[in-house]
Amino acid sequence: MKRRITITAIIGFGLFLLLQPVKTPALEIDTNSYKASVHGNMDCESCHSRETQGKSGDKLKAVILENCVQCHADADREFAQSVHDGAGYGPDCVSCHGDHYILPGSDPSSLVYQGNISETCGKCHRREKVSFEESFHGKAAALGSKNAPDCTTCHGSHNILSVDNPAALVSLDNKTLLCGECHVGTALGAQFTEHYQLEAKGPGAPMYWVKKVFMWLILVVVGLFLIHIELDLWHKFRSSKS
Amino acid sequence: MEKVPEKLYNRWDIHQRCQHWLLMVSFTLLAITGLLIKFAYTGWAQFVAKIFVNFEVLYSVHLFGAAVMSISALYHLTYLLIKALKGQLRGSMLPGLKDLQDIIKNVKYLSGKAPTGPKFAKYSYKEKVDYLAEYWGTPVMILSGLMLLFPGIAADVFPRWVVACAHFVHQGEGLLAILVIFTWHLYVVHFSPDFFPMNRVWLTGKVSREVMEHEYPLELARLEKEEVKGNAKQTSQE
Repeated sequence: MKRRITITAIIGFGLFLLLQPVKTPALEIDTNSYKASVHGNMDCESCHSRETQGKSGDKLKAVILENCVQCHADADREFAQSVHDGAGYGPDCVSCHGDHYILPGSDPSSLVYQGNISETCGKCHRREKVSFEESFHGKAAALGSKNAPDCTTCHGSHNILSVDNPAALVSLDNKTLLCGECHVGTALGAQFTEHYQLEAKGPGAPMYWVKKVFMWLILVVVGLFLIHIELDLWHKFRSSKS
Repeated sequence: MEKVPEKLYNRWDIHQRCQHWLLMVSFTLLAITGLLIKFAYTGWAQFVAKIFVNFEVLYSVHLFGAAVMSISALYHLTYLLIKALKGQLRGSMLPGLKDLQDIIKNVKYLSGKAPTGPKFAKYSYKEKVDYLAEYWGTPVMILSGLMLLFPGIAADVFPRWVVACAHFVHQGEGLLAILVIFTWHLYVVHFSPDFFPMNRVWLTGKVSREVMEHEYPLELARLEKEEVKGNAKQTSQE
């Protein structure tokens, strides 16, 4: 009896290990999509060089990222100084640009296309994405405005610096200059938190309450009107019957 | 159809009808483009927005609508001022204690607790509510809209959070106005069995005697009193 339980337990544990979801790399490449990508005329070995052989996971990625840099040295130089580099958890080339099917930024399907970039950055910067989509800048971008700013217009792309860094595009000292590129001749309140959250406390509180008040106003006013209409129709229905 | 031509009463002169046309056209343009901008992140808005070719055209239509609505508001204020100077302004659109009593009376009547309803003068509380919503909503929309159109100037005058609030005031009041027009206004003048398919005042400016008796008996009494006095004026008094 004891032996049977042991055997069952061992088999069960073995099955449990076998059924673990395994992170499998995409083994099939869509040739047509690859040919249509910006790297379509390059052969596989350009990125999957000799050094990648026998490697997988993070080790493979590290070699391939080294290979990106072979051609994109400028991007690497800017990225190396950015807030995203060396954070340990920060993004790399693939996080924002994709892997096998990288498209030019002007292509509407590209991960870094103006209309998609907030989605791409928003994978990590969720709260900022929400506030951007709440703003007029975001709404104009969503409807395809060519003049609307996206994340990169204000923050840069490879060269993004921390807001606390005086050299950052969005630093307190540079903000007036930055906004002034579109909003000519005005000093839009530099202290203001642009990516405010609609919460009862914090920099977004006034906007949160304005939104709440209007929500209730709409519910009450339209509710009363609907009740009156119902009352009127009900009365007409009864008097038509009698 | 009756053979005898029914007696018609002047209700809206040509200026009032023009104001209504301007308001109606601009409101429709503003409502369509405004909703598309407000719900820009939904699939249906992005689909419908394609009618306008691109965002720049859509936004221009919104600004055009805003200009027309502002003109209609100025037109109306000028009209009121001239009427007042001529001494023809009775303030028949102003809310008063009687309107409050009328609402209570009508709710009692409609719910079967009173045998008869209230008698209305030229404008019933139903129409006054519509008008006052417009009177409150238009300045709110114009002012908050101007703050959004010129955020730089607005941020020089007010703190930035006020400008940010203007964005939410503009969206909230806009949505409120659209819902009120779609429920209340369309019921009172179109879908109400009293007027279906519509109250034609906005087209002809005239009301039949039957409607006057049924809807505005106090106004009818006033007009008849004036006729007896022999000083029936052709111009409608407001």
